[in-house]
Amino acid sequence: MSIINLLKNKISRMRTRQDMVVSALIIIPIVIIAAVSFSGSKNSKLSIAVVSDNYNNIQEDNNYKITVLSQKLGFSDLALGIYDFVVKENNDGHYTVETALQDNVKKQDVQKLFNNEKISSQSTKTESERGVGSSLLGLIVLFVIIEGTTLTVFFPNDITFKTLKRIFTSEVSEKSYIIAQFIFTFIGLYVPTFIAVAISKAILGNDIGYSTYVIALLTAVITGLSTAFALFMSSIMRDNIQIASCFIALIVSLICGCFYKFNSGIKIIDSICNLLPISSYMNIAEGLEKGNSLFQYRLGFLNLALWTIVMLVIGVLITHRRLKNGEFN
Amino acid sequence: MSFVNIVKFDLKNIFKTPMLVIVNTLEPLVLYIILGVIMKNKFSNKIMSSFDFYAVTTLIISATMIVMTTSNIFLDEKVKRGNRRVVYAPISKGQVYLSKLVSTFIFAIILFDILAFIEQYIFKCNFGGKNIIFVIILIDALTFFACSLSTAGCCILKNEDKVNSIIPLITSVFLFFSGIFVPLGTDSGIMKVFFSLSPVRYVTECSMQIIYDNNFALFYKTIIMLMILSIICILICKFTFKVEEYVR
Repeated sequence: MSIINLLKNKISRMRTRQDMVVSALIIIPIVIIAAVSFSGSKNSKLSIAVVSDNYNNIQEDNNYKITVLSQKLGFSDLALGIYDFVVKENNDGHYTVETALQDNVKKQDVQKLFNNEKISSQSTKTESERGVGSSLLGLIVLFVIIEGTTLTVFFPNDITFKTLKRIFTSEVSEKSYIIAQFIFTFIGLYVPTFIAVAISKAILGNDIGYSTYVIALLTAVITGLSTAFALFMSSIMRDNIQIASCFIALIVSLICGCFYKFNSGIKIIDSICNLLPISSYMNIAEGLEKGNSLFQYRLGFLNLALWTIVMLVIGVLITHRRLKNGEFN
Repeated sequence: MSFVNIVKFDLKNIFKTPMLVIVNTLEPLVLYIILGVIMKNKFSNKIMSSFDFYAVTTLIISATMIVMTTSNIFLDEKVKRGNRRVVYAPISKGQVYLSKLVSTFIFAIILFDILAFIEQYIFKCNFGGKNIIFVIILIDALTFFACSLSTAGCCILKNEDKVNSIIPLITSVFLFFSGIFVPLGTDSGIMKVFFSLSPVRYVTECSMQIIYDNNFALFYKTIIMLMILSIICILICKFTFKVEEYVR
């Protein structure tokens, strides 16, 4: 009963905090635009600038957009990605290719193209390419975690404004308070995120490799995890919760390959990364997009569930200890 | 004279909050190392390694994200208690918000400048050799803009949580369209508009031009643009900051 009352209380407090609604409304379109443009930029042609005075035999190629320039280009244009490659003609008629942000395989492809050599067909695709769906989810992970701490803000607020003491003086136990906060944050995160992914599915059509049920499951898993993380952070930290969790979320999602998949090649680092919940999540997302069965990823799901539960339990225990120590008085 | 005293007091406050110091020093360093390692294979050129690129860009990212430090210094409940006394002291109300802005700015540039020099001379990253000073000036100007943006947000929204849920969002959009994560060459119509609207984009572009091409074409324009934007933000503070509402 007390859980329902606590939830009602939180919802009525939302009225004075329109910023939460606004930030959720801003986040959703941004994530969609970002995801669509990201997937668009991956499939779009690589741009090549050819620096030459008399370059006539422009080879039309479906993979590249070729621009002919008469002036020499600075290196910064490559560093900023305005052009992917710059091709220069040597005195002997041979072409050299320069690049900053593309890997060696692609560079050699371009070099072969200009020097009229054959391109080997396997080398054009790198193995770490990821589907649209999982790169979209990878982008969403960071936003969901940061938004989670914003939605959990009533909990630390209750501590600073001494409301928690009043709440605990009544019949409400710490457990039911934390559960109510969990439900509130979970729903507040889940609904907009699910809608965001569903809308992007509608925009991208068949490109996104999940069915609606799988999207529902995957967003539920990540919102559960980030809710637990937000509660955990709110109970162990005294202040600056948002700064700290932004910091941790950014670093963890980078290490776990949310934006760019990588292998460090060092065994210890890789195995530590694999233990982190977000890398299991990304593995699951990638595998499901390829069409593997859910059952194959039971270990990954187990890992995610373990992290969620452990963080929640630690949160409850620490809140209990802080209450006993009289920190909320 | 009283203004200097308030700034000193605020600076002490920031340096005494361990979280703020840790985040503003560790974040650029850790990000720089992680991104440098992750993206190593993508940078095949000898002129610019991933570490060179991310040493500059992580400092730009941290300079943009300083907004959360400013809001903490301005509106945190614990800091606010002391600030109430300052507000009631016989000083002009402009000094109240300007002192927060200036103290965060000083704090940030001390840390970022030290980091930039460490990264250039100890980690041997490329900040443009002797031109490092111009890159640092750019990053400092960006920091000043971010501080004044956040101060304006604090004056309008009047609550730390509200500020922290809206202003970092705006700055992360700036960052997303800054050429650090998405290459500037991406040419779909709407992306180009977003790219030209983000002030951070000009800082990245200008610093890359200075470092790799010794080209200062954008330098003064970028600085002047950032200063004008900062002045607009400070004017917003002037018109929206009300002592009664701050004390409440």
